[in-house]
This record gives sequence, C-alpha cells and structure tokens, in this order.
Amino acid sequence: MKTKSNNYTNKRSRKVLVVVTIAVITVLISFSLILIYIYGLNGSLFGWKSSQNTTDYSSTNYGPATTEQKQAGVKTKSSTTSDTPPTLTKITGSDKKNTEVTISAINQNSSTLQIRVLISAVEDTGVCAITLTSTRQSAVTATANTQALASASTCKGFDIPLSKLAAGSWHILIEYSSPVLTGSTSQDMVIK
Amino acid sequence: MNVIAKIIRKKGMMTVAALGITYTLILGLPTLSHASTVVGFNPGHIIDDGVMTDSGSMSVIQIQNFLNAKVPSCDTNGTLTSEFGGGTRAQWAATRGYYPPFTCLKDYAENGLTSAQIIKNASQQYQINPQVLIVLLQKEQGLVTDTWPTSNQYRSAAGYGCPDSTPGVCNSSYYGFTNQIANAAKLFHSVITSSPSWYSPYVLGNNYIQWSPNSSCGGSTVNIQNLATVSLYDYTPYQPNQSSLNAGYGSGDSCSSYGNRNFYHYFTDWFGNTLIKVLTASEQNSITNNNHYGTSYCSFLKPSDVPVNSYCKSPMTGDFNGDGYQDIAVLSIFPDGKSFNLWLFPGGPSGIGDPVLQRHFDAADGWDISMNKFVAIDVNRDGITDLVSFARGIYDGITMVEIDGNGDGLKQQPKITTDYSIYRPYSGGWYWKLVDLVQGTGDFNGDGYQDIAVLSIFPDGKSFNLWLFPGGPSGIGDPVLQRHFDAADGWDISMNKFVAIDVNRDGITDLVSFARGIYDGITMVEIDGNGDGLKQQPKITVNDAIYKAQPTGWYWECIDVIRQTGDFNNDGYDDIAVLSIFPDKKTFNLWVFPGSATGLGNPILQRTFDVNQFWDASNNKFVALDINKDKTSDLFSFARSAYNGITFVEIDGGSTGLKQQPEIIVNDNIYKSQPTGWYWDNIR
Repeated sequence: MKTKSNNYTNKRSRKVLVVVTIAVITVLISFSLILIYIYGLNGSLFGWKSSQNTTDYSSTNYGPATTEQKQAGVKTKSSTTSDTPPTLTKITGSDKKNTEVTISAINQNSSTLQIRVLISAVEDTGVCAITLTSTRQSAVTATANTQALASASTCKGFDIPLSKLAAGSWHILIEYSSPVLTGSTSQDMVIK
Repeated sequence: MNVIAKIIRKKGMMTVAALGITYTLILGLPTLSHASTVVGFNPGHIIDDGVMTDSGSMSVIQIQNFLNAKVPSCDTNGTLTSEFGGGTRAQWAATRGYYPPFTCLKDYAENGLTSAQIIKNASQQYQINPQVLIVLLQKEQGLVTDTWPTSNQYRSAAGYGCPDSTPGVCNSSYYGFTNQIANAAKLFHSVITSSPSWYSPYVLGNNYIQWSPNSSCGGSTVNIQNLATVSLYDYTPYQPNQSSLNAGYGSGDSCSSYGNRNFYHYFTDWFGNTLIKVLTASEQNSITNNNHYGTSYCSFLKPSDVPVNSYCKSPMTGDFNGDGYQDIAVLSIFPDGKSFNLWLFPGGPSGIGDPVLQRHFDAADGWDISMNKFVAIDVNRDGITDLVSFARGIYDGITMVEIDGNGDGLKQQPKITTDYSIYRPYSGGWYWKLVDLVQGTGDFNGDGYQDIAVLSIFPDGKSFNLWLFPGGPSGIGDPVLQRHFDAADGWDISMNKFVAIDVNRDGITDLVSFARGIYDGITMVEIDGNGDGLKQQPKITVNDAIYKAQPTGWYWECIDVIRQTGDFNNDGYDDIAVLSIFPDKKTFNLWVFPGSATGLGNPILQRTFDVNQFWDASNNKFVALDINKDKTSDLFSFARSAYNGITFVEIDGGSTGLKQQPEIIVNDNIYKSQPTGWYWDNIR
C-alpha cells in the first residue's frame, strides 16, 4: 500500500533527479562550449585568443618533444632505414633505368620564356634537351647540363628568348639522359 | 520503488550517460582536431626570408639546451624493445649493420665539435637560421627526438643527396653530419641570395609542384612568393596534400608527402611563427614616436595632423653633385605615405637653384619613407657627398642603402651595402626602431674619412650605446662600439639632443649634446673625438643655469638644434645654430654657439622671429650650409606658406653671424604639385 510518506519521498527524489540532471547538462554544455571556443574556433571570438595561438615569432619551445613529434620521428627513422629500397624500372633495350622528369615552371615575361625542370634523381652528370615545336615555324632546340639538388636534380636552363618563338601553340619536349638514367616529359603551351 | 520513478530515474541516468558520451565526443573532437591538423600552412609562402636567414636566432648554448630538452634520456646501448620488432633496438639495428653506441644528437660530436657547434657554424657561414637546420635534422631523420639514432642517420643527417624517389638510398658523396648540414645551409643560402651559380627548378610566381614523388598523384600550381619558400622546394620538391595536412604529424593517404609539412609543423611548434609579425598601424606609429629625431618640437609643437616623420626630419646638406657648392637634398613624400621623391636644390655662385628631381622611390618597389633614416655623408672621400639610409630590414633589423653622389647628383641606383643579417636584432640588439642617427656626420676618428655616429637605445628607453660606422676607402665599415651610457648613471637618451661638430678645429669631429638639466634647463656635454674615435669620457662644458631665462625660450624642451653645424661667423671655427622657442610656440630666437680655439662659447642672440611678423617656429624646417662657397655657412628655411606651400627663406652668414635680414628667395608656387609630394607637410 502506498503511503503519503512514500509519495513524498518519490516526489522528492524525482525533483532531486531533475535538478541534478539539469545541473549536469548545464555544466557539460558550458564546459563543452568553452572547449569548442578554445580549440575548435581557435579562440577567435570576442578578440580573445587561446594561449596556443598566440605564439610569438621569436619564442622557442624548450619543453620535451610531444608524443606525436616522437612518433613522427620514429616514422621518419623507419623510412630512412628501409632495408628494401625501391628499384628503378630498367628501360627495355637499354642499360639505363627510367627516372621521372617534370616541368616545374613555365613562365613568360616580356622577353623570355622560362622553363624549369625537375629530375627525380640526384645527379649532375646528365644532359637535358628541350625541343619546342609548332606548326608555325621550325623547331627550337637547346641543351643544358644538370645540377644536383638535395633530393632531386634540375636542368641548368632554360630561358628561351621570345624573339625565337612565334605567338601561338607550342609543344615542349624535355628529354633527360645521364650515363645511368633517362627520362622525358612533354607539355603544350601557348606563347602570347 | 515506483515503476514510473524507476523509469524516470533510469531515463535520467540514461540522459546523464548520453550527455556524458556527447560531452566526451564534443570534448574529444575539437581536441583531436586541434592536435592533428596543420594550421596556417601556405604552400606559396611557407617561411619568410627573414626567419629563414636569422642566423643569430640561437647561440650554441641555446641550441645545446634545446637539444637536451627534446631528449631527456637516451637508449645509447639499444637495450629497450625495438619499435620495429626484432627484439631489442640493438638486435634490430644489428640485422641492418648498425651497432651501439647509439648517440643522441645532443651528445653527438664530429671532428671535435658538438652537434650544436656544427649547426651554429653552418648557420653563421651561410646566414641561415639554426632553427631551420634543427628542424631539417628532425624532418629528414628524426634526429632531434630520437633516443637511439643509428650511424646511417648521421651519415645522411639532413637527407642531402637522398632522392625521395628512393627512400633510404643516398649519394655517398654527401655523407657525414657536418657535410650534410653545410650542404643544406649552402643550398638555402644559394637560393635566397640568388646565386648565379645555382639553378633552381622553381621560380617566384607560378610553379607546378607534385603532391608526392609519385607523379601519377598529380600536383597543383603554386604561386611561390619568396625565395625562402623556393629554397624549401629546391630541397624537398613536394607539397603536402590536404590529407597530409589533416593528419598533423601523422600519415595521410597514398599520395601524401610530409617533408615540407613536417618542416612547417615542427618549426611552428618549436620556434613559433614562420612568418614575421606584421605591425599594425598603431604599432608603427608608436615605434615612430619612440624615435628621437633630434628635434624637441616634434613632441610638443607638432600639429596633430602632420605625420611625425615628415615633420621631424630636416633636409640634408652636402655637395651632392661635386661642383664645389653645397646643395640641399630634400625628400618629398607622396600621399600614400610611403613613396617619395629625392630632389636636389643645387647650390651655386648665385645661391640655391630650383629643385631637380633625382629619383623616385615607389611603394610598389618596397620603398617606405617611414622606414628609412637618411644621413648625408661623403662615404668614399671623393669630395662628393652621398646619401646613406639606415633602412628597416626584416625582423626590424637594419639594411644599409647607399646612393652615391656623382657629377649628375644623386641619380644613381641605390645599392644595398650591408646585409641586414649583420645587425640582426636577436643576436646583437640592433633593432632599427631603436637606432638614432646623430645629427650630422664627420670624421670622428681623424682618419680623413667621414663616419656616421649612431646611438642604439636600450629597451629601458634610457640607456644607450654610441657606435661609429667608420668611413674608409671601401665605404662604411661595420659599427664599432664607442661608449655605453647607462640609465643607472643618470643617462637618458630622450633627454639629449646630439649634434656633430669639430669644436676645437683639430680636424676631428666631436659630439656635443644639449642635455636636459634640472628644471628643464640645459647642460652641454662634449665628447671629443680623437684617433680612437668617440671613446673619451664625456665632459660637462656648460652648466644649465646660464641659459635658463624665460621668456626667451631657454628651456631644454623649447630649443631646436639645427642639424648642420657650420662657420656662421666666418672666424674659421664651426658653430652651432639653435632656435629657442617662446611659450606661444611660434615666436623664436635664433642663437649661435660660436666655436673657438677653446671650444664653444656662450650663445649669442642673432635675431628674434616674432609671431606678430607672421613667424611660426612650427612652420619652418631649417638647414645650414655654405650656399655660395664663401666659407661662411648660411641658414635656410623651408617655411610653410599658404595652402601648405613652400617658401624658401635665406639668412646669410657673415662676420657678425646670422644677424642679417631673412630674405624670401623662392615662392611656393613653383613647387606645389601633387602627387609628387611638394606640400610643405610632405617634405623633409
């Protein structure tokens, strides 16, 4: 049998539960909003900034490395101590192996067509040859030696005088050859 | 228990639990997001040239401390379990031909030099920020955080000669820790200095940069905005894709590359922003106001609508065109507040001629009048005065720019004579904003060449150093410290108005300061130059009590020392001309401190310029020079006339000094033509 006292207790406990629930919700939402503000929005509201985003350009962090930094270092270490380096593809009918060649920049200024090339090997013994062809005039060619960079190489060229190139469409062919590597790339462009 | 209550309680619990989970997710997501994603990476501008070349950012000790902090303890013998399997680290390494000891970077030495010293040496030799080299060692081999580096990691420490297309396979000609760092620094230096012997696959402007060594992954066009960024791509010719950036220090997708991402991420985490802070307008203004341009009325007479820089600098004098007559060099500032023209008012037998345009300095070419402190000096003793600017360089450092005078005036191309890196602020205290050029140049050390005296102000705003940039046959040399003036000894830069003058006609220029005495009086301090420069003990030559007499304006705050000294009274000794401004801030007296065999004499009143005759001290920019080669210096004023025009006023020197009637020699209408800056407000 339900008593008055039991009803009172139930009502009271229900009230307490509701109050506690509301309090917890309020605290959690408030805390979450603060965290979203600081981390998610980079503390950029109201002119405020979280301390992590106000690093001075001259500051040096003398603290220990973070776990993420250490893990990234371990990953780097594992890749540089790889015991199965990838092999380059051998060219059929040749002793040379293939290397990738990329045109890294084509820029035209008032007097010169600048073409820059990236070779995916560290060599300074190769030769680059450029051939520009067009339906409007005979081909323009040039050669250049290569220069080794830190993790690639580049052709020591090419700056082609625009006086040699008629306006219109051109096809650029770059061929690279060294005692051990070969590669090529091509691209179309328009001389304005 | 009541069923409904149970349900409510259960639902309440579930609500709380659900909220807890939600909370955890809300808490967790932004945290993960913040920790992982690389923010602010700009593929076209990864690092500023100024940050890249800040070779003085860390000393050897600071580098060592940094390395120590990153690896508190090392597994030198490789006894711990390997991260890569295969038993202990020593066992794993042995299978690849590497054996203990595994020396941490902080303890590593080669050829008797510590790793920190090797980094610093390369940094200094090639003017590259050691922080860049530290980050390079980490992103290429993980050396900074590695507790058990193997010998091959040092052998190719900076990854130099290691193609990304063949990881782990490196060119043996670049082996060795010192060799690696030197090659890396040299590469960066070659690109940043546009070395003619260095060929770069990338240019300023549009470039095609792949996402990874795998060309099938593609790439994108990147507009590279500065040479430091070019140098990073020369080193690692790939840019991170979005997946790589989203992963923070972690792995992206199969087309991700990490070299330049990790460079940026490590640098910002360890050393701060890779870009130099751009000053706000108010910061610029506060810096400008902190400078002491030698005229007190800048601070208390300056009209609020007149830019400080245009007001506080008086024009410069010298024989800029080698015709034997002294000329006046004037800068006219454009409405953009940055561009300016350089003009010459040529001296001649009949006086000052009309202004002749020498050069235009355009903001589009990076010129900014507010970031140049000009001084006139015959740099090379060819008898023709040149212009030297202490220009604001990167990191608020100093770049010295020289415009050589010749028979055609000051029309030659400005040339940078001294690299900013020499005076880099973080290593030597040479902040541009805190240097104050002494009014007037001279031969302070008696070697026959003109020198520049410079004051570098300490952060306390009071203490300062006096430096000499000595002239010589090959131009201006590096600064030599003359004396330190400490606030603890009562010195305060803001209470000194320095002027250069050969007080005793011994052929060596001295320095005189009108120092602020008690009750705003004046104490004159003299530092005599000799064969050793300006290193002698300053001496007080005149007590302030002599001059303090209102209403004639003899308060320190109310005097303005004319920048140029000269022999105004034709007695063969250089004199100093001083204006004392009346309390009405308009009327002023002109005084001459006459030089003599025994030094400067007491001031002699020359004339009173009364407001009732329309004189106004704040509307005159005075210069002193011997305009007609009669060996007597004259005084000229660029006076403000109606509609902000310019009226040229001349006061000829003579045996009685500067007592002659001022004469208006040029009407303002000649010069007033915007946008070339010919308003009075805009010249200096």
